[in-house]
Amino acid sequence: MSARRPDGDPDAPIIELKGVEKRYPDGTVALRDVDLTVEAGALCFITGPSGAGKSTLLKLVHCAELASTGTVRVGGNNPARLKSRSIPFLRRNIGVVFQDFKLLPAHTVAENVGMALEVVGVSPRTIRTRVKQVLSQVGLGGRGHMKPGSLSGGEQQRVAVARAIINEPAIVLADEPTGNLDPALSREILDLLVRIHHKGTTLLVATHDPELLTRAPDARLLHLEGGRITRDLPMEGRPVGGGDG
Amino acid sequence: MNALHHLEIAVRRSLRNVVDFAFLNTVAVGVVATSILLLGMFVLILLNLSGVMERWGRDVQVYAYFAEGVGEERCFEIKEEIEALPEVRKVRYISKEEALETFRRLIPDADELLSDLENNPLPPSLEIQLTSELRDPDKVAAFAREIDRPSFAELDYAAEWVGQFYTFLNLLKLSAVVMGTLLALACLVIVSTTIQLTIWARRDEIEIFRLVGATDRFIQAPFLIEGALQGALGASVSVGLLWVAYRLVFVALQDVLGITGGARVLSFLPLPYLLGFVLGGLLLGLLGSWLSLRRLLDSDR
Repeated sequence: MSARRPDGDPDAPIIELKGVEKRYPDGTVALRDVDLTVEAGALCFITGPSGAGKSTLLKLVHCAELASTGTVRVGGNNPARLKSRSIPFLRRNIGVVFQDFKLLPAHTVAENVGMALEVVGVSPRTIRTRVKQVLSQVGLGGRGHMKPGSLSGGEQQRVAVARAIINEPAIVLADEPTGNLDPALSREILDLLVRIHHKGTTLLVATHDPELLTRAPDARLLHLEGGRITRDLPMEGRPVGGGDG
Repeated sequence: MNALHHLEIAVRRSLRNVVDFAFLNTVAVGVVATSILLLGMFVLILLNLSGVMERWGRDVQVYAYFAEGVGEERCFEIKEEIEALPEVRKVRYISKEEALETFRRLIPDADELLSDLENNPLPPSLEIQLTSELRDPDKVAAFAREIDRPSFAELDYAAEWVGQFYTFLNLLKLSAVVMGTLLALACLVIVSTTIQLTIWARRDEIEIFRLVGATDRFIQAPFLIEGALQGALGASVSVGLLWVAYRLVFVALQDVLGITGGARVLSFLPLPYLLGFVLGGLLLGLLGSWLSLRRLLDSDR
């Protein structure tokens, strides 16, 4: 990660979960006994039925939630041991993409994308330049002045991807990024994410769409069920088009 | 990020939000204005009431009526003796003629009553005004005993009334502090709740800023600036409304009731109070905003 926290271990895997359980106050157990190691630059699909714990796993990596038991390490940092004011700095190395895009409708595309740089304190001029670059990278050159509401679903998700990668984060997490899109647009978005991964970004994609897995045959496949990892197929060991079964 | 750049971003975002959420901001300003107007009305009434009462209190005096046969020269000697006492602020000699004149002015049918009398029955007197330290009814009574002498037929000093008056004034002041504090707390709750509504309307924005790694301080700063602006603006509006209310109601009431006997005793709030209201509004907005943000950010953590 480009901006590790001082207490981060540079030799540690970029994501590491050991004996993790996530239990909510109402008693629901979203994850149980999860052990997972993801090396930097990997591409992982996390599959499984609804409620299997895919989103929770991503939330733990993004430090939106903390594990009830066990250890989570992101870039060598244990979020549970960081002060809460340090968490935002860790998040700046993690881009996130959601099914519902999470864009601000009153702001322009450029403003939505630029906000990830604004929080870091980058000058408005540099933000403008970087936003232009990243929008053309995701195929939205010239759309910066538009409002998200005037774009198609696929285009809105591209805006969300642009926002996630503008900081050049070490990790990108995508939670059902194609859930609201038709198959053609889904393929388009996944291809875009895979291209970002090919530049060295660690990419975790949670999906229950088996079709998507065929777009990245070299990806690692993690299958979750009932909060447990029931299958972990490494890149090489997985039959092409294997789906999530 | 240096502090100046941070502040610049916060001001830019807060101004942008003022425009984007114009309706919500107007509602918040309106609520602040109404709350502070209520508080201002209370202070305005209280200050004027307290002022009028203090003025009455200043009139605490002892009347000494001379006995029959005391010559005018002797009356003036006694006046000078009493004037020299440290408890005395002012002594006025009221001659028999002046007393009669006042009696005629106050009692419309005086001539009819007095026509049967051959001589002016009213005695000359001294109107003794006491210093403000001498307000305790016991002290007034002691003073009266001190100046009493055979030359006086009667001493008149409403000691009981003075005591009750100051007890009432002190009670009024105490209840004003309690009421004012309660009213200020109510204002804080109302303003904080209103600002909370405006913040809740923008929780998506807060969530997204968190996703991209914004610190709490970065998220809070524009909301705090907005809160302060809403508070200061609302308070300014309330000061304006208070002035209008003063002109329309207080002054008119004063003229209609003629409670001043000609000179105007009711007054608008002095400048330090007005500035205090604007500053108070600003702090109220700031505090209301901070409380609401803390609640929201803590619940999202």
